[in-house]
Amino acid sequence: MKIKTISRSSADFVKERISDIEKIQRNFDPLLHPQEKAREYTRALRSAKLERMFAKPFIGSLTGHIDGIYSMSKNPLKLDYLHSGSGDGEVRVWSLSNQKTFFRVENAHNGLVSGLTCIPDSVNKFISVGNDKFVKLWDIEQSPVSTEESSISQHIPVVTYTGKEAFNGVDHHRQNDLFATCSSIVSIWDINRSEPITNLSWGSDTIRTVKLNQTEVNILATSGTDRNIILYDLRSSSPIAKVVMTLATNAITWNPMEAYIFSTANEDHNCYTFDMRKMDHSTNVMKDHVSAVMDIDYSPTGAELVTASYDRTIRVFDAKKGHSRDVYHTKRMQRVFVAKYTMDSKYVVSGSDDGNIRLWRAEASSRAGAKSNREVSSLNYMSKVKNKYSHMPEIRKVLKQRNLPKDITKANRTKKIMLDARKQKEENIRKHSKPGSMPRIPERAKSIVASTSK
Amino acid sequence: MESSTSKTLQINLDKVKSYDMTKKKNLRPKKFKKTPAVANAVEEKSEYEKQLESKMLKYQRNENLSTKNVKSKNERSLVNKNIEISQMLAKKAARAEILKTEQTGFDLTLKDFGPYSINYSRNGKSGAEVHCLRKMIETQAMDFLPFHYLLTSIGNQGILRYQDTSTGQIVAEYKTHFGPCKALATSEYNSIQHLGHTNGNVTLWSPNSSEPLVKMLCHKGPVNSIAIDKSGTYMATSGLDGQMRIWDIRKYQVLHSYHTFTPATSLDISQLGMLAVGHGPHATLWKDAIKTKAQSPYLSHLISGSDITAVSFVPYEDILGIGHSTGISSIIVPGSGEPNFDTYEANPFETKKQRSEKEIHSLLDKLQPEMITLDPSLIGVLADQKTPAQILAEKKEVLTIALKSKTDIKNKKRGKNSAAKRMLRKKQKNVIDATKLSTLIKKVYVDKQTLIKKVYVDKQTLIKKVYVDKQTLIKKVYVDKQTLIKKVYVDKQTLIKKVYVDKQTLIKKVYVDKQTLIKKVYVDKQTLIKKVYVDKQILTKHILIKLD
Repeated sequence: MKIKTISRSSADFVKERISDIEKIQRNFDPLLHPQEKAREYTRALRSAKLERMFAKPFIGSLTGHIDGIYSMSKNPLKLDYLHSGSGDGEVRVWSLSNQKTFFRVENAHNGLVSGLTCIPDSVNKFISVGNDKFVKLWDIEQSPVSTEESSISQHIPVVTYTGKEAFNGVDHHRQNDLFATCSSIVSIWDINRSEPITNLSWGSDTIRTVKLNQTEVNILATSGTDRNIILYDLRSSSPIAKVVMTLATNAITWNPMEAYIFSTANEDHNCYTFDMRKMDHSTNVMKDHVSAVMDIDYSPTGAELVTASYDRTIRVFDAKKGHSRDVYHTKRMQRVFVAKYTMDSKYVVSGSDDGNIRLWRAEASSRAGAKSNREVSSLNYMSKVKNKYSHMPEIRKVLKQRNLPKDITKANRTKKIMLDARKQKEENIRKHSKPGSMPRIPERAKSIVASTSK
Repeated sequence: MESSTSKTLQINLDKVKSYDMTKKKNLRPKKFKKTPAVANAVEEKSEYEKQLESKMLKYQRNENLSTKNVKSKNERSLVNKNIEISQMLAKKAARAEILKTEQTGFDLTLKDFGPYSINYSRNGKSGAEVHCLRKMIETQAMDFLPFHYLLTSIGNQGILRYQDTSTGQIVAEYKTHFGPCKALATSEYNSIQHLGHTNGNVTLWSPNSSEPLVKMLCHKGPVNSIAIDKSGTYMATSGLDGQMRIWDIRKYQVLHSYHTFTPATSLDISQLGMLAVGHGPHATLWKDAIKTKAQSPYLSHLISGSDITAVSFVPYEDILGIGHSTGISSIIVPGSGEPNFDTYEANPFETKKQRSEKEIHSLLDKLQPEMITLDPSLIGVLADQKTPAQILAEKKEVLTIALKSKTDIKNKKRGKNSAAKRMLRKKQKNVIDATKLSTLIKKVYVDKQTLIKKVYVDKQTLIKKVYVDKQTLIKKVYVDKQTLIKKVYVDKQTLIKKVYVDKQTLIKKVYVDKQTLIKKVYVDKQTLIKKVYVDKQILTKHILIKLD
């Protein structure tokens, strides 16, 4: 009779040389992993605590601007570059890795620099617009020249275009040599011509922002002080759709991955995501800010959004969720007017009233730098386990807790009281009116007054 | 059966260390004088010592070191120290060589201090640290919960203790109230402690409850040993009643009963479900005795002239360790160990670095004692939110059950009034533990019930009284009324009669009167007429006369 017993040769299980990797043998039989759930839960809790311990989102501030920063643009081809324009007409180009200015024009515009945009096919060129009715095209590589007026040598624009009104925003076409500006009308300019080639308008109020779709390249979205969001098609030079909101929209951003999705930053503290094919209701409402949202930007992955608000905070939203994933603030940061995701979707840049540009981590507890395979796999495992048990009260509490400035906490509280009271009142009226006469309007359609599309 | 050369024997070095320590104790001169028996034992060197000495020669170094020519006192002490160290190292190396024999199965004859009990680490590798646990007194059985870092112990006091070995804290300490206990087993599945008591009971304990979670009567005599399989489904118990029973812990029901010729002293279930039974000098191994009723053992091993106290399987190996009165034996049992290990769970080939790293990771992943439950799958699940009505209903149910069980309410009178106990009672007056609380609740409930009953009875009697009073009153009133009515009727009749009679007499009288009056009037009238006639006649006569 042949009897087999366990007999292991260490050569099969121990690495031969020091430089070899350790040999791994797995057996996923649950009997060999007793009390797996309890152990996983403990790891999840530890991982949640570690995440909050390492959550240090602030990297540094880029100082230099004397006035507040009201416009910023990132370069789709160059990860390192960031363009910023301030209230006193200064334009700077920053190297984010060095946190230093390497191109600077002190009086680029007479007054506020209201818009900046990069030219996608050239790394060094960008366009700025200002309240002084000028559009200027700059080249970073051009050396400064001394003018007749001052002996100090200064950069001069490559091209200057003259408009009839003060400009509020600018955006460049992804493929063609076209760019769009907005004042009381939207003008489409050819870079090689001094006059706009097309003017688009629907209504007569001031248009605050214009954004060209970077995927479906001939679509552009505008928002105006008359509370409208209008979509135009450049091919037919005609509007496609119009939505009237209860309050004005401050900024628009197109989803880089889904061409028909765009999100807006609204005066009513909320952000709305729209599907341009069906504009009678928004697809998502993002709440949490306690003051007007000034700017919004999609991460290049299209999965997350960063918002800048008048309440002196920046929030990071999951694009599919209704509440923010994280909130960033510092003691010295004033009203935030612009916020952008960097092109690697790892960092967030914000420009505020206090004249500083701040650099943040998009994931507060993440760290840059090369990681060993073991570290990466360990981090992956920990985040997986954390997500698995994130519904548990103990872990959720650790993950959700944020210390906010006192005024924001107070504002939050009062806002909640006000909204609750409004809700209660509505319920009371509904109770005492004819059944069905007061239908419940979904939150996603509540702030939309009217919508038309062609 | 030849095993591969790489195979090494690994047992817990603890036993050997403790052996040494006792040896040192015996060498103390004071004891030497007092107990000549021990002295003899030391003079006659044990086989192990002889073996050790012969092996030590191989590892001796610094043979030239001697203090002969060293003049300075300091230097001499230094040299002495070096000699001591080299001796110690040689001894260590020799000891290691004795243990790391090439063969897998072996016999270690340690006659002096038997019997020996055995336990293996999780991955079957050796290695141990020594703590001094002063609170674990008269310990008979111990076990370690590797995920919780808890050392559990029970002994002659019958107190189950949980000590956290990472912090040194006693986490829980519960009196079992079952007397001395030496059968302890831990379920790997849920870390619940199974205790076997002298009255045949097996109790299940967690550090979160001062009462046993489950109490099951398993044997008609003291429970000798318990073993639990890896899945936490089956439990094997053996008792002094000569029985070995297999239990389904999910249902707390017996599956099979086996008769052992001599009471089994030790049980163990291997990773693949093989059952080892130690009884007398025999170790029997049963292959499919748990899930099915086996007819005959798979293997039987006799260690003649000894008494087996412990059987224990080596994880991930086909080896069974047997601790007996004459030493420790290790035998090969094919098909007992799990052949495929998981490196991340327990690695028999782990390196020194992996081990130290694992130590830190397992400390970080240390489970809290609160996580020990009968059903480990409950962790990570949200509890159902109970409505107030449900909570109330549950409380009521508990109370009714408590009220039904008379034994709990019974007050133990015997031996209550010793002075010490009275003082203790006084001291403990302010302390309300779970049992006190439950009796208190019961008492309050009973008081309430009696009060309610009393009130009810009072109410009923009151109602009855009122009712009776009312009835008598009604009757009296009725009777009164009737008599009154009768009286009134009689009165009325007599009155009527009287009135009638009166009336009649009156009528008669009136009639008579009338008649007399009429008569009188008539008479008067007649007389008057007569008179008038007479007068008239007279008058006429007179007139006539006059006229005349």
